[in-house]
Amino acid sequence: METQTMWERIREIAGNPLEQVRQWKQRHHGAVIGCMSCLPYFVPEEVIHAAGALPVGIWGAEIPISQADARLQSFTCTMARSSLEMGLRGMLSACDAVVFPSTCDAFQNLSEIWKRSSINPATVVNVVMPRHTDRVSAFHYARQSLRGFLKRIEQLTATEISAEALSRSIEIYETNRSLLREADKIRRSAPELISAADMMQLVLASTFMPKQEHTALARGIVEAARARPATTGLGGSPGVRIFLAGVMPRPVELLRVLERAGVQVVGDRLGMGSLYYDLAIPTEGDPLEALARGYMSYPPCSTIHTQRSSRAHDLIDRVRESRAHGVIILGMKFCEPEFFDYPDLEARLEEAGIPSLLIETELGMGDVGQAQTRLEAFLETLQAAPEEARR
Amino acid sequence: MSQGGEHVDRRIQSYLKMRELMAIYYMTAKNARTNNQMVAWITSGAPVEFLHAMDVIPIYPENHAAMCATQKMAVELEQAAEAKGYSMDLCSYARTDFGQIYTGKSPIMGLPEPDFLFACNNICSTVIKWYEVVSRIYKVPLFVMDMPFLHEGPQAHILEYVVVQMKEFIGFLEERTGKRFDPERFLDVLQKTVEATRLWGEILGTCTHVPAPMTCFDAFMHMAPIVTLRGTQECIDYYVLLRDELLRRIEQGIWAVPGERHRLLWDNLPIWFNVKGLSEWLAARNTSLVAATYTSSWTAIIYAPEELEKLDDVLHEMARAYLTPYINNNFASRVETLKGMLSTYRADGFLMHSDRSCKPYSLGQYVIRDIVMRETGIPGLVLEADHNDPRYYAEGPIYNRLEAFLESLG
Repeated sequence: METQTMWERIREIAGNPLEQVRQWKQRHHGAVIGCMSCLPYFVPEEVIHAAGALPVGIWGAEIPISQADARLQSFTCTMARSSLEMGLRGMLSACDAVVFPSTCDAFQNLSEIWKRSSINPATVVNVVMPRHTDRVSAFHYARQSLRGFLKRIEQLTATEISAEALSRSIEIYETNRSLLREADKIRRSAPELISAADMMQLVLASTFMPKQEHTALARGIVEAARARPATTGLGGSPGVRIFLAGVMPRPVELLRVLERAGVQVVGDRLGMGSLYYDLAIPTEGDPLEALARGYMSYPPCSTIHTQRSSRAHDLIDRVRESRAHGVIILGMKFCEPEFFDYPDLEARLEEAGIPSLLIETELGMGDVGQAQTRLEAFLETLQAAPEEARR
Repeated sequence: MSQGGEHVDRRIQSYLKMRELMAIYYMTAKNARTNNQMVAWITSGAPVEFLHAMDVIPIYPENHAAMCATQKMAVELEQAAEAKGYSMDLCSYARTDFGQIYTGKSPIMGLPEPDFLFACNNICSTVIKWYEVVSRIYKVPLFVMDMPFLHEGPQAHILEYVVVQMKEFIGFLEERTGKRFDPERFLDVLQKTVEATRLWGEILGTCTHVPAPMTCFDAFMHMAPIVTLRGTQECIDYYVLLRDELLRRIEQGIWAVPGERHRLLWDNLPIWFNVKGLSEWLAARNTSLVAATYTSSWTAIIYAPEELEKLDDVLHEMARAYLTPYINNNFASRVETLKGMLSTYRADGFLMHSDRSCKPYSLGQYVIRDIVMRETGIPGLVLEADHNDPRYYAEGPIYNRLEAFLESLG
């Protein structure tokens, strides 16, 4: 397949996931399990995969919110509000169940609202993972919680999940994650090959489509990019190099603003981004224990408490690694875990001499005008800085 | 029964004693350093008994933030936090607390600095983020006790998880204080908590009397000791005094709202900066707030450690009690609690404060209201406000909606 064709397929699936989910269902007659996905690693998709079901990421949507407002207050993030809206409008009826992870208080309550809102699918699965990851109690609880989740998926799909099947699914997921990490490396050295929008769609498609199919496409894309000589890259990239942090690179209009300004996104710490694939689940030993270990060693994020590493240090390390000139924090409005972190992140970045800009985002925000003005002003100051100062 | 004439002094006399008690508590805490005592900041629903048993003084930033709001100081402090970059969308308790740290201002001139922090998310996950910030500011350790949300009740593996964490916390405290944990001392503290929560339950229960001897607005004020002093003898002594006063009021026919016509239930935190205003407004319309899911949250802690010999069993019962407050439980349980309270307190309506600053309490209230109304026929009204930030409170529209709601009750 041509690289162009592979990208077209990725875009098609990322742009219209529901269509391919319907097709998958017709072909396989298997269960489709929606996974609430703003910080997606809270849902152990491997377990769903091992049961022969298709896990499908639910990321909210850029749609006007009307029906959800009668059930969920407007001081909630648009990820939660628009996901509920999708459910109420019947947009998720291809799913047989929805998994709600314990990401935050809003998700936790949204799952309870969902159960009482006559939504198709009506079946809700909660997976409540530990809130901290430093102590042995959390590891044991994570394992127990995963076991409960596995039993529930077995019951839902009427399939027994063997340890072998789960181990195999973990391997399949690890392979996929390693290819996404490869793609990430490529954009660091040759950002003109994979734009921010491309990377987002690659990640999204990975959460929508059967894993092996995605792996085949991702492998093709990565290999083709490796074969192509980078035209710019680390040597003398002319553009401003930007690192994205926060939850989602949305609304997509904001990415277009970056593209038009000619900046290159060279890395991210986004929920809809590196936080989906920048982790390692051991492929040896008891698979449930491996998933629990993986959870305990996730990169620092706003919803898991750890004193082992700091989110600011992790961010600064990654920004330096990617040789970005500045950081744009895309803060989803009303996301409490995220906004508690931002003042410290901004201060630490400033201490490290890395300019940053915080933009408040909402899915379906009609007008990005104000955000656009601030973005453009920020990019101008970066562009005006002498090349040495940018480094 | 007498309705009580206009000459009757309806103020609850014990109130002065409580103020004195709280003043002594904060004074002791502020002198902790001179007295060589350790101070820990702790969330309102955390198992404080471990701290008392280890002679650590617990400080409750939530209680202090509420005090800042009732003394009309919250906005100034919140703005100080916003100036440091904390979004106006964040919990107003947290912003008030950051503001008092940054400015040193509050009705008691700021809280004493912590030696360490203890956050328990049985009330919200917000407290973890809030305490992480405090931990960075003071560079002190933070112990997080994770109490998973009970989508399906207190399952065995969740109880076990909490028990293990309690043991981890004992280890943490021994290391911090350099003292050995004394189980007997701990059981003694626990007994005092049990006694205090039992008394607090009796106190709230006096409002099942029609008419009610006090309102929930009184309870909001008198809950300070059950939050901050449970586990101490002072707390028990105070609540005996208050309970006896309320029982006397019932005997003497002194009612909180003369000519009580409507009895309402309250859901969620109070609107701290307008407790007095709303109380008087409702009283002028012969309406009593007779109960609240919020004040009742500190009555759920009932267990009987005197019958339990092994520390493990004690911790297990404690875990169950601390896991099950209203706000850490699923909607089925919330609906049952509301229905039970509406019936016990003979309420003819309920008000749900949709609190911008408390998502776990508020998100879902519209759904819960509909279910409770359908199943009981008792009307409910959702009011959009904020517990600690008056800038999110539009008094005119709220009173208009309340007026219409009361009219609909007849």
